[in-house]
Amino acid sequence: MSTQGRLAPALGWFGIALGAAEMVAPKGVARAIGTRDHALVVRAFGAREVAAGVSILSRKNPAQGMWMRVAGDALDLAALALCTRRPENDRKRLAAAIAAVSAVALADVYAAIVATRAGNGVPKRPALVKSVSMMTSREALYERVSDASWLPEHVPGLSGAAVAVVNEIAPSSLQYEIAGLPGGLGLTLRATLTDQGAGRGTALRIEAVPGTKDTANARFVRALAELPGDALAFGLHRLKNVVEIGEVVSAAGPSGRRIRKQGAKG
Amino acid sequence: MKAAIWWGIANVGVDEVPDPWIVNAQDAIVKVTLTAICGSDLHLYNGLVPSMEKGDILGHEFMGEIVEIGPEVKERKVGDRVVVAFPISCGKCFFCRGEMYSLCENTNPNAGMAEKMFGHALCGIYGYSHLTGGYAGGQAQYVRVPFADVGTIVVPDELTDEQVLFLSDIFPTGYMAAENCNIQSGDTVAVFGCGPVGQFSVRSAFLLGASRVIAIDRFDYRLAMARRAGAETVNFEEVDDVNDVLKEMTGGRGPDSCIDAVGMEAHQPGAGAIYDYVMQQMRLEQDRAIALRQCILSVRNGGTVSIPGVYGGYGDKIPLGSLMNRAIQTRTGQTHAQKYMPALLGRIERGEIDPSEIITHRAPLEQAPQMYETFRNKSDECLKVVMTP
Repeated sequence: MSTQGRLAPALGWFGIALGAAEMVAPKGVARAIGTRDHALVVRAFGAREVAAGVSILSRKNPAQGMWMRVAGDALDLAALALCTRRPENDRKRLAAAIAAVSAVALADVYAAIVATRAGNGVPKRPALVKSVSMMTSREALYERVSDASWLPEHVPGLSGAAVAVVNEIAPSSLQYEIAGLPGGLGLTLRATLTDQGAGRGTALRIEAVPGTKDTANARFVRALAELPGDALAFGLHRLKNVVEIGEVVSAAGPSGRRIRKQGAKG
Repeated sequence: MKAAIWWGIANVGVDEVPDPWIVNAQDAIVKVTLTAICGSDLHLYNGLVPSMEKGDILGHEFMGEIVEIGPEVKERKVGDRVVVAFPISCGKCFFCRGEMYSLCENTNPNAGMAEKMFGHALCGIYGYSHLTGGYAGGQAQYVRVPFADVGTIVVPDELTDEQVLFLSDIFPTGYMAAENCNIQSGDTVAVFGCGPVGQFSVRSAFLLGASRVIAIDRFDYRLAMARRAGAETVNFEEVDDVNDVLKEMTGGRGPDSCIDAVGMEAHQPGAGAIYDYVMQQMRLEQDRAIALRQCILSVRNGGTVSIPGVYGGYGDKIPLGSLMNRAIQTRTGQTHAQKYMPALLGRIERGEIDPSEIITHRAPLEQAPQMYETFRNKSDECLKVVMTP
C-alpha cells in the first residue's frame, strides 16, 4: 500500500483512539484542551470520532468516512472557537488544541481527496458474471444458446427486450446485444462455453461487458442495475432445466395460502 | 382434499385445499395411502427451519397409488403402488448421474435462496420449506410427484404399507449413515440418538457387519427398542460423561465410528444445555450441535463421524481441534434415497429387517395436530407416527 493509501487507515485508528478517550475520560480531555467540564458534549464528539474511524476501516473505499472526519474537524474547530469567548477557559491550551485540530484537519482533507480520487478510479459497475454447467456437449449447448430467445424468456427483467447475437465464434463464445431495456438502455452480455471434461458437461459463463452500441459508462451501469445477478442466475437455472430435462421445473401445487387470505387461519 | 398444513410455530392444522395437478411432463399424482411424521418435520414444527410459509403442506415420507401420470412418465403407470423418495431428483444432471440424488441441480426452483443460505443449492424436497423448493408435501390425500420414474419405487403386494413406507426416508437415511462409516469387521459403532433414524442406523450398522453397536439416548423406551435390535445402550442422563463411558466400553480407544442421529435440537443435562438453548433462541446459532460435539470428542483417533441428523445453519463450539488433530473423517448429507431403495426393498422382502417395528402410533390424518404434539413432546412413548389420509 502506498504512503497515501496508508494515511486514511492511520487517521481512522487515530480517530477511534481519540474518540475512545473522549468517551471514557471526557473530563480529562476537556481539561487538557483548556475548557470547563463539558462531559456530555465531549462524549458525543468521541462517539462521532469512533463512528468515522469504523467507517474508514470497514469499507473498501474510505472516502465517505474521511469526509465524515473533515466535517467533524469543522465542528471541533467551531466548538473550540466558541470556547475562546469564555474568560474562564484556558486560552493557551485552547490555542494549542485549535492548532492541533487544524493540523489533523489538513491531513483529513488530503486523505479524503486522495480516497475520493481513488474511488473514482474504481469501476462502479456491479460485477455481473454467472456460470452454470450443463450435461450436454459444447456444440449442442452452443446451438441452443445461439438462439437468443432464452434470455427474454427465462431472465426476469429481460422479457420484452430485443436481443441480437453478434461476434459468434462457434462453439466457444458469442455476444448478446440487448436493447429495449427500461429507459431505452442497452446491454451486452458475452457467453463463453467451456468443455468441463470427464463427463462433467459444458460450462456456460455469462458476463456483462461494455457493448459495441452503448459504451457510455453511466448508461451501462444503469442497464446492469436493471439486470441483477440473481435474475441472471435464475434465468440460467431455468435454461439448464430446459437443456437437461426439456422444460422448466416448477414447484407449483396446492397450499393453504388461499385459506389464510380468506382469514380462516393463521 | 385434506392436508396437514403448517400455520406457524407449533401450529399444524388439517384443512381442505385444492387437489394437486400435473405441472411437468414427468409428474405423477399419487393417492396417498400412508404417510409419516419425520423427526425433521419437528424442526419445521418448532420454527427452526427458515423460509416456511403459512399454508405450506407438510410431509416428505409417504406412499400410495399412482392415479395420474404426465406424458413423459415412461416406467410407471396408473395403478402402480409406489413409495416416494423424499428428495426430488431429475435423474439427468451431474449429481443424479453420480447417484447423489439429494444434490440434484434441477429440482429446486429456489436454488438462489438456497445458495445464499448454504453456498450451493440442494435438491427440492416435499413439504420442507421454500429453501428446498416449496413443494407441497405428502401429509395429504394426494400429492404431485415430479420425475416419477426417478423418485418412486414400485412395491410388491405381499408387503404391507407399514413394511415399506420408510423406504421413503428414514430407512435409507439410517442405512446411508451406517454405510458412511465404512464399517469393517470387528468395528464398534456408537449411535447418538435413538429416534427413528437412530433406530435404523443401529439396525443398518449390524446389517453392514458391525460387531457392536452402542446406542445413546435419554429415553428408556427408545433405548429398549435399540436393545431389541442387539445394541448395548447408554442413557446419557444417568452418566457423568458419555465420552468416558464409551472409552470404558471400548478398551479406552473409543468407537470406530459415531453416528449423530440427533441434529439441530439436541439435549444435554446440566447447565451446558442452557447455553445452547439461549444461543439458539437468540438466533446466534441455528443448531444446538451438542450431539455432534460429543460424536467428535468420542470417536477413536482416525475414526469416522457420520451425520444423518439434520442441521440447518450455523453451530457453535464445534471441536475443530479434535477433528483435525485426531484425523477424524466426517461424512454427511441429505440421503440419496433413490440409490438405496431397491437394495433395501430387497432386504425387507428377504425378511432381513421389518421397518414397521418402530411404529408406535397410528392415526388418521385428521389427528395430525395432536400427533405432532405427541411426537414433539415424546409423550406416550412416541417414536414413530404413521397417518392414514
